[in-house]
Amino acid sequence: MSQNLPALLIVVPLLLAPIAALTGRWKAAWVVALGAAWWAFGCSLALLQRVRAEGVIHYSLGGWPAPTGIEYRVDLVSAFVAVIVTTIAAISVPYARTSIAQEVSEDRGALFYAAFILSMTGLLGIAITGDVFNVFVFLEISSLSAYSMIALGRDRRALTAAYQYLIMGSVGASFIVIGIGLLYVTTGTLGMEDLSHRIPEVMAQGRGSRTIAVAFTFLTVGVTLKLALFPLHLWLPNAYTYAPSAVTAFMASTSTKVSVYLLLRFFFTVFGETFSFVEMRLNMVLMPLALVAILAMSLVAIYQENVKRLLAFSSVAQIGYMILGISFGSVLGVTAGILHLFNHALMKGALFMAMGCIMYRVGSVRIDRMAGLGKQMPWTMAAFVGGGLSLIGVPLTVGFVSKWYLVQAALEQGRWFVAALVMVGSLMAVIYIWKVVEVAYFGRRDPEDSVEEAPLSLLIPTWVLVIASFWFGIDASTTAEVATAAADLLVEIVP
Amino acid sequence: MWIDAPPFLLLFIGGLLAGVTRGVVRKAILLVVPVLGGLNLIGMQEGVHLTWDVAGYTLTVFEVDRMSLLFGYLFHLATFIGNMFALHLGEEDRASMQHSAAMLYAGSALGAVFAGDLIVLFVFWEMLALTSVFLIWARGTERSYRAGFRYLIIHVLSGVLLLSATLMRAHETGSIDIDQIGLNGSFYAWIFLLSFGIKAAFPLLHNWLTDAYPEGTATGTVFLSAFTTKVAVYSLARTFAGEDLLIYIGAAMTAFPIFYAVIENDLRRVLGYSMINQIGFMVCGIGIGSAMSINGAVAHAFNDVIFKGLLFMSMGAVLHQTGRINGSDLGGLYKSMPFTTGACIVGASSISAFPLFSGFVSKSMVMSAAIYEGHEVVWLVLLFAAAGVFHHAGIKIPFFAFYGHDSGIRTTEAPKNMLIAMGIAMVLNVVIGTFPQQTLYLILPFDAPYSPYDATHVLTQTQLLFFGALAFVGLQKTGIYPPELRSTNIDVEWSYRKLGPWVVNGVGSAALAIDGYVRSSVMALVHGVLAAVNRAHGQVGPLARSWPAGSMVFWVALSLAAYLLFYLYR
Amino acid sequence: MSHDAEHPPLVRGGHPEPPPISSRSWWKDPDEPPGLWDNPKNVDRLLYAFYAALVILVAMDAVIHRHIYHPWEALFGFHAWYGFAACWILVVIAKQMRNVLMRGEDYYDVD
Repeated sequence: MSQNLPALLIVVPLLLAPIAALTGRWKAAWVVALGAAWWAFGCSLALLQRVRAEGVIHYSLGGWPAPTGIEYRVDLVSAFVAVIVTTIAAISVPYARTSIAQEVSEDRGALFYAAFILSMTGLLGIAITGDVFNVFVFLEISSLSAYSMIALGRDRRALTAAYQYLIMGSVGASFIVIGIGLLYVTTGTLGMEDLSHRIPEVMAQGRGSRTIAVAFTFLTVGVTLKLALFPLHLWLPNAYTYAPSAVTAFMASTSTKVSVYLLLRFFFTVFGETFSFVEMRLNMVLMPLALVAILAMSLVAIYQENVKRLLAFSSVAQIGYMILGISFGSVLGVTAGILHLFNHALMKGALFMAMGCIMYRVGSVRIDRMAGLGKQMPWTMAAFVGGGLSLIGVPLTVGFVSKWYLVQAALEQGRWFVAALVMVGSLMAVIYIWKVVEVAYFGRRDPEDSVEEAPLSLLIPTWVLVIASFWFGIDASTTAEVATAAADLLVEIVP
Repeated sequence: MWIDAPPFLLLFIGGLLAGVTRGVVRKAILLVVPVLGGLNLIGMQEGVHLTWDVAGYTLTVFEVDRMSLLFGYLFHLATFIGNMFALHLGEEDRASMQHSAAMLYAGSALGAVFAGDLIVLFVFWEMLALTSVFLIWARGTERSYRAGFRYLIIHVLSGVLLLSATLMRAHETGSIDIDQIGLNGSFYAWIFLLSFGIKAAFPLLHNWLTDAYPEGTATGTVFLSAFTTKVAVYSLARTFAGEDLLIYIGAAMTAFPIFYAVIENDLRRVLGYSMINQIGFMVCGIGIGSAMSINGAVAHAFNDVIFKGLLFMSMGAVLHQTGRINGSDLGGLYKSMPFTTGACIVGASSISAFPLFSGFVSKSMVMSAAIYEGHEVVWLVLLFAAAGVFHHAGIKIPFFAFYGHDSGIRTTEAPKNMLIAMGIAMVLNVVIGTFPQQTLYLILPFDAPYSPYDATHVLTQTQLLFFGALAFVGLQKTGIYPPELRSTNIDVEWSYRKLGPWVVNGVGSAALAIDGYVRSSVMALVHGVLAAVNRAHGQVGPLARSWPAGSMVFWVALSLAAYLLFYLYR
Repeated sequence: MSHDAEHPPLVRGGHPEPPPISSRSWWKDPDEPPGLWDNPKNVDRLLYAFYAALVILVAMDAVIHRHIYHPWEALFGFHAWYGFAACWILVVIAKQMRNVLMRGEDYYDVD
């Protein structure tokens, strides 16, 4: 059993998805989805344990060894990302029960949960596969199911948002597949490890180096589009704003994270850091874009009146932090990036879930509709404040841990200016979080518009994430250790 | 010494309990917790008591030495007096919020002075701001809300600077200890100084104090005056002792606020300015850096908490009883509030440093140290400020509130608990002022014997003050003395309350106009293209809907082209 | 709010009325007996005592041998005249500062 963990992680949910669809009733489908999510959660934890103990796991599907067959290749980075995805999934499904029942019409409930399972499976597949074409396949599985989940929202604008996301996602995926194709043409292989050996050989022979540069370009654009790096983030705000609350919480915490993983995988493992950062000077592109993302998107967030949209722009800014860490190319920087994957998943998940609670009771997440909610929905708003503190980076929260590593990484390379900009970004987060807090705690609610606290079935998952975001902020030793070990695996250039 | 828990913990627990209890139980908590906390400190061993491993770093949460112990006693004392003063608060005063915030605030101050490293200091530094602001907001007026918000922003900024400086220093030296930093030529030292300077109300950074403190509640301002600036003084004494620059900053702090104090109408704002003046003496003492001057600085911090607290209490009592606090609206209250009048005079005598009152035994240490160490010009400035403080805090406050022109307002004495709190502070002022060797001097951090009571000191100080009083009499009799006018005096805050908004609005509206212009022309262009396409294809719907996605794809194409150029022609 | 003739309003901006007095206070009864300091004679007595104290304090300068730390201190009654001058100058300068700094009470509340 434990030998087959990587396969079980994928195959079981993949089989459960059609079952969920076939049940036809949303309650049954929900149970199936719950089973799939918790199963995957258990598997991924076990996988992480094994990887930490034994190192990289190679698993050949069907017994066909790479490069002929498809290989799953699980290292610390993959396992860590898989844990992030499944943790959020395991918390999102219980949350979805109440929230989705209200936001998605009943007859489509079963389809929704089937799409949810598929989306999760796709993300997990990307994380653990060792084959670049397989990456594309899983990417399409997760994206197509994500489009349909967004489109299932009752808000009619959800349809447009999903359509935009579909176009952009497909463009991104096509670019990735073009990049993969070009690599295949020049190297004749699709296995990641194989590629990492073949590319330097091909380059050394001097043939096809231009093709590889073009492949590199297509992959850069495709991946940065998928992870919504400024200026290719345009699809994200609408998708997050109009998707059903549970979907937003799940996607914001997982899908961009997996895309960041993809970036690490392609540019650190497949191409190798030396090639990407020294020869192609990818960091020269990533760092300025990341900084612009942090500052410009935080600024845009300040001006949003719809809080889900505000948080969506804040997500683009936070992705900037991850990419910034990675662009340093140092162990400390990549550690900061990987840590922030996890930490941001916790805090943004909590924040979007809190928005879901408000959506459930108030029916809107516009700031002007939140007046006085501090009194009427104390637990929901307290969760929002908790997540907000993390977003700002207050000590004792996960946000602080991320920023601490990030600033350390910047200072290590003597980049004072970058460290200062990170601080400025935090101050901007204070402003946009405060905007909501001010209205909720200092505004007065029209007595005719009074609402009740959200039901426990929504509050408990929300608070699990809030508490986790404090827990891992106070005791960051485990996450920091895993992230550092993962970064050690990836980073080649040691000063 | 019966529990080895960090002092802040007890007050935090007390603060949380005070938020959820009512009536007698809450009153008991408010009075018992600071007493227990203070007793707990007696006989506390010096050294590290509690560390905490987090994310690979060892944080020193609780460390004790003589200096932190002195502030520890002081803050417990201030909490007790302040709680006693606020004991009468009812629900209409937002009592739960005020009591809870005050205790949490006091706990944060204790956490800061017992912090063993800069990270822990930073955490409590920010908590000081976050907890204290509720004592301003509890007033419940639009003014107090805005003032509190300005206060919060400035203090959070100070914390961010502290953290930045800590990170830089940790990176350069690998140390997060709270020890001597000094202006050693490094950039981070200036950031530290800036951060501490904001909290200590250095000149030009001082305006948050005179802006926010007068907007606090009648009881809340008593707490505000006790903790924030004293934590800053403590931090400066720890990290910048003997830094020459501080001598001149301190001297400037003693001198410039007294001019404002003379013409200010809000009597609590007068006290705010006089507070900056008193902190100036402390900063100056820290800058001189001899054992005696630092002793003087911390002793003065100790006394300042008590006498400035007493003055703020007397003004708080006036505000509570009459609802007014401007000098122009008060006068003649000695008839209605004789005890409060007495309390105010004792506080005024202490802050003016009359012999036998507490200010005398600490201020004279700083001034003696200045002249011993050869800072003659500074000494003359301090002497000027010492006379000036008597003038505005010693005479002006009691005169305009309790004597002067009778406003016709009549009232009764303040509630009993307020009187008791003032009584305790009065006794302390006189006892410390009369028997310094048996009280305050015992707990000073350095071994530097000092005797304030020799004939020279007593005579010269008395001459200085009495002739300062003569000037007041003369100015009143000749009509030169400026009357109390209902007014606002422009200070540094003008830059961020008037100039800043003007600039931002100006730039903002310009940017908005440009943005609007660009946007409309681009939109016109897009519509033109769309119209052309529509004319060609005759399909209005799909094209009109899809253009945003189209614009996104445009960005993708642009990015692709840019990346290709970058990679191929790198 | 009225200004006496000697001190015309220097200020720009408005003067909102003073806040109402609190419920714990009231306006003085016209028949109220005068207080201790309403009688100018008492004030004068206090001032005479004060002047006497001033004379004694300066006279003590001749009797008590003071330590001299600063050269100016050697002057007779240095602290006395320094204290007097300091306060006088302080007030005169501060009063002039009003010409530049003073604004209406609601200065920051209006645009």
